Amino acid sequence: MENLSEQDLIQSILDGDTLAFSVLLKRHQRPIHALIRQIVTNREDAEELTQDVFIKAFSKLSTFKGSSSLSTWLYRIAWNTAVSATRKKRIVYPEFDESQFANLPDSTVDEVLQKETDEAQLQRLEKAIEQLKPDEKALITLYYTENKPMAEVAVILNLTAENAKVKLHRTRKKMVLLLNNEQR
Amino acid sequence: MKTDNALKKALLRKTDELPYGFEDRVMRRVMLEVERKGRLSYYRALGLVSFVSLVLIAGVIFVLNTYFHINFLDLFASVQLPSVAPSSFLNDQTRPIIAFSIYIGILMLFLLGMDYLFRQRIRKTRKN
Repeated sequence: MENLSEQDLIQSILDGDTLAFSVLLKRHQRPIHALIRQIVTNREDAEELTQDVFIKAFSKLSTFKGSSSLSTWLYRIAWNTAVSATRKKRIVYPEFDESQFANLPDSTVDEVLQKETDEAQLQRLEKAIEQLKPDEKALITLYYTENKPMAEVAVILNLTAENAKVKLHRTRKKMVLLLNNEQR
Repeated sequence: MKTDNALKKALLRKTDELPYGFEDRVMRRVMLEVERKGRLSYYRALGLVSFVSLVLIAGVIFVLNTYFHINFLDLFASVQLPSVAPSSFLNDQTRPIIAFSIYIGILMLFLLGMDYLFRQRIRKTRKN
């Protein structure tokens, strides 16, 4: 069963072979959990929400039409589930003026985010990531750690490819602004 | 942009492993979901069958009333049940039969109760 294609696995599950779902679960649990973990930060909540994602996926599997890959479909469920959970917590995120974004040159952003860093800088970056909004966290997680192409990231986050690119550009700048804020 | 190594490193530091037994927990919830769906479809079918039966009964009553002029209210009103005094059926001849019937009734209830208890116990051990 491990070697079955995703389409065959889905068909097996829809035909009543519930155990076939464990194969899908094994294949997708790590990336789905990684995305949720970045968005909700709390370890226990992340595990609970990852479980919820797979239960939702199992219940709604008959509605999966195959217009996107199963992984994209699961990511979309994960994104919606995680963002609903964060909305309930009413977290206030730091905001920056448009002028602050405009005054920050791209070369500075590249330098900060691309160079090799020490432990202290990594910790600062981690803190800065925590202060990002859920959609910004999801965007950079999918793009950098899951290596998803921008077009797929856009589909998952329900954005146009162009908007996703702009958002990534702004998120990178925001990271640097947050780092600068912290150093002050 | 994919070369944002520092950012990538910082993101990867947070990706911890899923706890032991995660798969089992999800599959257990999946099984419960299957059970829930089964129960739901059973009750839906039951509701549908009840509704269709009621519609058929109503249809039959309507047809009998409209085309055959059979009024069920009048029909039921004309039915007279014979009045039965307890002394008329409780005598030396019928007493052992009634006692035996009560015994069988209690036995049936006891067996049904035991069946229910055993089924519950088996269901619980299967779940665990």
